[in-house]
Amino acid sequence: MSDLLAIEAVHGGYGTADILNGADLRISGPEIVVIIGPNGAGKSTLMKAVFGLVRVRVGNIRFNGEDITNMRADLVAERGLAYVPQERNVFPSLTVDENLDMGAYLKRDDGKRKTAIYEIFPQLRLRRAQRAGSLSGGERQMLAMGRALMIEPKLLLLDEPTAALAPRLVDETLEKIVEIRSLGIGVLMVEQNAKAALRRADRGVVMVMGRVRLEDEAHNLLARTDIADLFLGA
Amino acid sequence: MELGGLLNYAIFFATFAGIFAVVALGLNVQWGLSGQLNFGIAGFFAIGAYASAILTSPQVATRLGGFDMPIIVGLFAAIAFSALAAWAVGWITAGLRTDYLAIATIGVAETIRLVVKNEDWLTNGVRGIQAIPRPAGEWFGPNAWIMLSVVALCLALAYAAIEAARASPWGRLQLAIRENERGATAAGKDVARARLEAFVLGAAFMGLGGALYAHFFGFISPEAFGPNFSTFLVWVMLIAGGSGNNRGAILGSFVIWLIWSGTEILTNRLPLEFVTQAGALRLLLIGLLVQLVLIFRPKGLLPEKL
Repeated sequence: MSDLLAIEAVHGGYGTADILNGADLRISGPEIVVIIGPNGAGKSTLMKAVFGLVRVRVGNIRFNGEDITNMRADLVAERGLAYVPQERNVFPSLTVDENLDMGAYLKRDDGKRKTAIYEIFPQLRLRRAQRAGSLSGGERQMLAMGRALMIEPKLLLLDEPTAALAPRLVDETLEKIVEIRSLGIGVLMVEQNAKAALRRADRGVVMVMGRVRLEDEAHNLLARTDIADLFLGA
Repeated sequence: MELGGLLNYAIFFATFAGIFAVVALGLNVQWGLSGQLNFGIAGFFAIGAYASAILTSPQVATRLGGFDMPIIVGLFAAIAFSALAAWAVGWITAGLRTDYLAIATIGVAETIRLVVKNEDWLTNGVRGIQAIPRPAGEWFGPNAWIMLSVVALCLALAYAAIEAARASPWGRLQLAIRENERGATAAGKDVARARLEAFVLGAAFMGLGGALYAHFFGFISPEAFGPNFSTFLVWVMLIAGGSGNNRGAILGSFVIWLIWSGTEILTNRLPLEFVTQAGALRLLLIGLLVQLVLIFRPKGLLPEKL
């Protein structure tokens, strides 16, 4: 019962077609868990299902011991679960500051949280009055994560946070995620840069055809040549 | 035209344009701020007009009321009833976006118009409601200056209220939803509720506009609530003025109303065989104007300031 997140035998997807076929996953606390797997395995769909954006047909999802299966996304967020979609995750015509405020309306902010977030992402502070639409890809990703942190989540869901980023920015972004974990926040992420992500993660899970097929400590997965050949790329 | 006549016309013009501006501000909340396509303005306009007319007109045997209440009660009732109707409509259409929402709202407006036309016990049907009181009419009779002042006051209050809403966190949330609905959901926002709130707020001002219209003319009938007049024209006003910009909505109302009224002067001079088609010609001219605005000034006379 001490699990932060418990996904049990979840089936579901879009319309009548199930993408998830009995997915199981547990996160016990402030750890980084990376989901890897081929395209179409249901990695992003699983995250959306947790956040109430995809219908769960069978199975259940508990957060902090509470059943959140098919709960409305705004209510899930209220319980301390934040989600950063892969694309279109900032509000381009609002400033950096206002984007962060978007996350704060859930809980009133006395300015402390924003200060804390600017400490994690100092380059955002420099651009606080600038419109999010004018930020670079890397800065946008930082802003999206910062916005998610404004609700003071216990668990952060990140859908491919390094997609379409330059290699130098991939490492920088992943280091920020390690920093977020050190604040006592759990992170569940889908990541294509699997090797780089696993190097910083606590655990990895391999998803295939809508199920979690393999689950292990991240360094064990990195050491396995069969996994490397199949999923980790060059 | 002599000077007195010109002044009278100017007052009449400003009052009418001001009423349209209140409605256009309402549409600007729904479309300009929240991005919801409402093609059923006429319906909320009608509800406001009839709510106030029924409550404030003297009692007659053929329909509900009138209840002979003060105009201020009628105005607030107009706001309340149109907001309530919008809440019901918005709740039902919560899952609809863009063009689907637009189609649904056209249907709603037509339904309201048919109810108004056919439910004689409530609205006196096609015969309409007469003897709707003018502001302070019991002391001064129909006084154009007083009516203009009431409209100007309502317009100023509507403008101030909507500007304040726009600058508030609520306004920023609307903007965020308009440009990235998924993102707002991911940020933990109750998107459906925020959209409904904007829809209801906008409709409330449309209802207020309808009530002002009723007290301005003293007579309403279902004919006034067809889509051309109170839906199409208001959209043109907002688009031409600059959707998203409240001053643009007001400016657009005055400019388009000037052009609309101006075309009447033109069409009155048409040879007799064309006069019957004058109404259609005016619509054609306004349609042409929208095309020109969209081509040469796509964001309107006063574009939205972000």
